[in-house]
Amino acid sequence: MAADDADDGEQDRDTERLLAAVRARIAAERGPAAWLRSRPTPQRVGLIVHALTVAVLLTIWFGARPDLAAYPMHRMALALGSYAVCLLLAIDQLLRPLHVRRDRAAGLVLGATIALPWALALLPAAVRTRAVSGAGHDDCVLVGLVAGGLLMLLLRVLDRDTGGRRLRLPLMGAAAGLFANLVLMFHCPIDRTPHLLAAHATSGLVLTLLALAAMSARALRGGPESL
Amino acid sequence: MRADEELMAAYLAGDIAAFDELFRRYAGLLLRTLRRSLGRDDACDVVQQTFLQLHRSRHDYRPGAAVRPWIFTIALNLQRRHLRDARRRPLPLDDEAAAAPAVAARDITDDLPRYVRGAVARLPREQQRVIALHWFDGLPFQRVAETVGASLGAVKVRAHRGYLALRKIFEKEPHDGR
Repeated sequence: MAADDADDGEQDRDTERLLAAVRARIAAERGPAAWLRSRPTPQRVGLIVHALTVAVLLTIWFGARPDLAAYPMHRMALALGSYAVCLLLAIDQLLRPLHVRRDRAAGLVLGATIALPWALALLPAAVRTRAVSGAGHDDCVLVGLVAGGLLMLLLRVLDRDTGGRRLRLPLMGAAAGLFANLVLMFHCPIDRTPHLLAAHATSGLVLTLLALAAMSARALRGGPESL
Repeated sequence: MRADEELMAAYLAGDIAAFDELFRRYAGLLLRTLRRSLGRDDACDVVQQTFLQLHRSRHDYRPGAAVRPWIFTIALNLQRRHLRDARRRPLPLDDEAAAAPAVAARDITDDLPRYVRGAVARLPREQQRVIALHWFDGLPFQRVAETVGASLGAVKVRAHRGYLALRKIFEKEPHDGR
């Protein structure tokens, strides 16, 4: 009887200690980043979609490909549609809150996100209504890295759980690469396979490798992720 | 006593005491559940993380939705990660883990013979969870179903298969009761 009372007392003390620790962590959840993280998930996804749309519009405004009007619409629709669907699925996975049960399709989304830019790069070049020079478009990797970096930053800020889902960082890198390719669709008129592979798809590869490097560093340190 | 859902609604309305009450209601149960597969420190860490995530996700909560599966799904997702990160078996039942000082001295799993814990650890993870909640925690199937977020029928099937598998293990590998 006395032993049971002592056990109850010990458990109560442990619970109160844990509660105090949780309260302290919650008290530290302040500032704009914490506020953004705590928005309902549809709002967080919406925020990213809006920010990416603005980034695409800015690309069109300041650096649109010269053949935009001459580029076949069906080809543009195919590429944009597949990029947009894949990107939305990836963002949905990345911002999935922990109270939602694990989605077993996460690996599939990662595979599609990585493969899509490479698959589209292998399509034959589109036939335009007028010839356009690709001269002066040697900044594709840079533009791609900036666009992808923006998405990574947004995901980092809006993610509530940076503690290390297995596929999180590779998917984040691949999604950033996908967005880089989407932006480059509006920026670069060159659609020959060697250029698409070397300059466009490479942006995605670099971002994915960066994410994998961050994951490896985390695994070596045994600490939280750096991205 | 206020229902979990009322407490969550009150917390969303700014009542900090409601969060504390939810914590006190679930922390012990979570610790007992988690300590079957994690050490004491990791279990405490997962409980803290669970309630931190509950706080961060509070605006995702739809009024009236069941809170219990919400909390348990977070905890079990975090537990899976801990196990993966530590490269542990799904239910590590080594002597060190079993001998770790219990948060709750009445932790049921500490009283279980090693052969029982070893046998349960060999079941598929979904069956482990159901059997742990039903057998070790003594929850009725309906509560188990709410906790793991599965239908009542699915939970009963998992439990049935799990208990059959356990019986086969015990019949095949006689033990001396330890």
